[in-house]
Amino acid sequence: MRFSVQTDSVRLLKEAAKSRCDRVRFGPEFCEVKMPSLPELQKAYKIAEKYGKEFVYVTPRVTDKGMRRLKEHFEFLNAAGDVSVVVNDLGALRVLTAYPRLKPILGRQLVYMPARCPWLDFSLGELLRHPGFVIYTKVWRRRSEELYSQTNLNYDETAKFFRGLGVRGVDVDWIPRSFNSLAELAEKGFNVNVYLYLAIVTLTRKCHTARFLGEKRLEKCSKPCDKRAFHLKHRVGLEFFLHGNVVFRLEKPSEKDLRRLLKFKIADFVITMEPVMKILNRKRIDETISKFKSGRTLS
Amino acid sequence: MNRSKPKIMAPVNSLEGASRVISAGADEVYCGVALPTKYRSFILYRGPGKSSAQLPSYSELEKIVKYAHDEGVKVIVVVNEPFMSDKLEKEMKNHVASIVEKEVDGLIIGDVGVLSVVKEMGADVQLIASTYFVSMNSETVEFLRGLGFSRVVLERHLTLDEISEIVRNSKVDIEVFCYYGGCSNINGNCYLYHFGTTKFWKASSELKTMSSGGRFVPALTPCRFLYDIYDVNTKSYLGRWPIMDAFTICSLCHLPALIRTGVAGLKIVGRFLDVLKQETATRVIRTLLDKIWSEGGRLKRKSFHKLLSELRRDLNYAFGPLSLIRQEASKERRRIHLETSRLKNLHRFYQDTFCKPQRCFFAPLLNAPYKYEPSIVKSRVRS
Repeated sequence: MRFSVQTDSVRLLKEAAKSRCDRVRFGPEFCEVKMPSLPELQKAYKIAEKYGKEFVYVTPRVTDKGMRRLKEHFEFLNAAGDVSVVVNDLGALRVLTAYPRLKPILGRQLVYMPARCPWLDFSLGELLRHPGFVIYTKVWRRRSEELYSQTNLNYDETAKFFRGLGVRGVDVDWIPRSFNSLAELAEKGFNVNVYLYLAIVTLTRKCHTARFLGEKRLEKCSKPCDKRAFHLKHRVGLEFFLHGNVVFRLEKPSEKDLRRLLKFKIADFVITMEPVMKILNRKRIDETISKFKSGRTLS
Repeated sequence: MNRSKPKIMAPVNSLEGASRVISAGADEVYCGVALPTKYRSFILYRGPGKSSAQLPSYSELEKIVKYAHDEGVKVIVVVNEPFMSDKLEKEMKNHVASIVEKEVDGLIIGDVGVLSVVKEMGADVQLIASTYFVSMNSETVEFLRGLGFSRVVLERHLTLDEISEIVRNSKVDIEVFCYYGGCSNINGNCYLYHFGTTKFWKASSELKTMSSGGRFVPALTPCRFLYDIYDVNTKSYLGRWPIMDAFTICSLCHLPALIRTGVAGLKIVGRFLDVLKQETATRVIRTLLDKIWSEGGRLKRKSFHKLLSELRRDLNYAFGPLSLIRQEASKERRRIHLETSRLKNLHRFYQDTFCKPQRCFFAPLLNAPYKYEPSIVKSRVRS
């Protein structure tokens, strides 16, 4: 069982690098405003090197302005060594193909998983009550559940297309409904990296946290999400977590699901350093890794 | 401006709608087609085929194509599924074949897998990249051009400067949404599916959002509802706010600047809208576009706003309170509308919620429909 720890802060990266993880991931997955400067990236790379951890650079979706910075970063990393880069933008993936030493990993924003929908079970039930389905059968339920549990990469042509661009790794959320599809991805030869705890529900560029806290200009955002996150509840029983510009839902890993997942060739479990799960220091990272290694998962 | 005059792409969901938006000035119309019930696995994915956003049949599409082509207008069909699956392949092929057979001019596609199906079929139509590709930079546009797309619809969450830079760098036509339905979230990554949720949410009486005046008004999309918010660190209650509501509805005030960016197409959201709304939105955009274009992309502020206020009367007529009475809604729907006072407040709601806080397409991205006051929250928490 291998673990990666992800953060967009150089300070937290030190904590990650000192922990018992196997790889460190550095960079903002969702927000262009939080992209590091080149010196910060260089510093982060050195930290990983110093502690003997494999370095993975994580990139968000970007505008043209962000793309110019990304190109600088790719230049540096390509010169530095064989580095994996998580891409969440098709343009960034295109640019990356020009750097032979950089290995693209398809980020969570480019891996479409319908099972991320928080009320999927309800929607499935509604679908199957539709008059279009003259006879309600277990077969149809199973078919629909299978369909909704897939990812875009389960389709051969899509997988082939991305493999042709050099993609070998894919990032996905821990959603037990999709585990069989993830196994299929591993069989197709992808290194599957599974993010623990927080699964994406939706994301925006009109950052909900920034708007809520009265930030006025995106480019001058004071980045309150470094420290703050919000728990959203709705009376119908839904619970979300808002961290920065992303709304997540908590997927509590069970021991049974962990055992199921371990049967497949999962490359890495990814632990994100963020305030929701309060994983913000080396101790918490090591605790989490120990729990998973002992098969205890989340308490 | 180097480029040619932007085309207006109007939504339609019926032959009548097509004829009216074309006479209102649409250069192109776009539509979706409901899938026949026999394509079951596809229905499982998309939701039931017959909805107000879709044409009911391929024969309706055929009629629209014939009518539009006679008028010299192109017809584009939406097949922008966000992902493809082996289980859907056969149905998708049949669907695309049925559409292409009707001699449509283009397909809007949002996934690499769907694209591969269309290409494998050798369909000779223009390919348009949907917002599902989340195009936010020139490299993505170039990437999509390499895949065979000759037109790209940009993500809604961009500023005018960002759009302008992409247009300058691109070798394909760039299109943007300009009216109605500006999602709060990036729709290529949004899993707050709308299908089948109405009953789910009706279990609660919280189908509301907040206008800028602090009043509560009805809303129908999950991103616009009120949520109880707690700080994760302190666990303190911060109040009930529509924290995910970043919805926008129009870009009329920004239209001169938008046209100056050099975009090739202005797309109106609203395949699900009634014909009057589709027609009015098209006419308003057409009138403004023609006027702005005739003045070389720059209109005097005063004359622009004069024209805009005249056109707003049309918009209010189509989208405002009376429109709901005019609609031939069922008695039940009409009763609900009256009961919720949605009719009376809709116009005021638009003004309060969108215009006053300047929540516009392509405007600064961080406008909110509410004003969060930490001091109020503190006193609420204490009480």
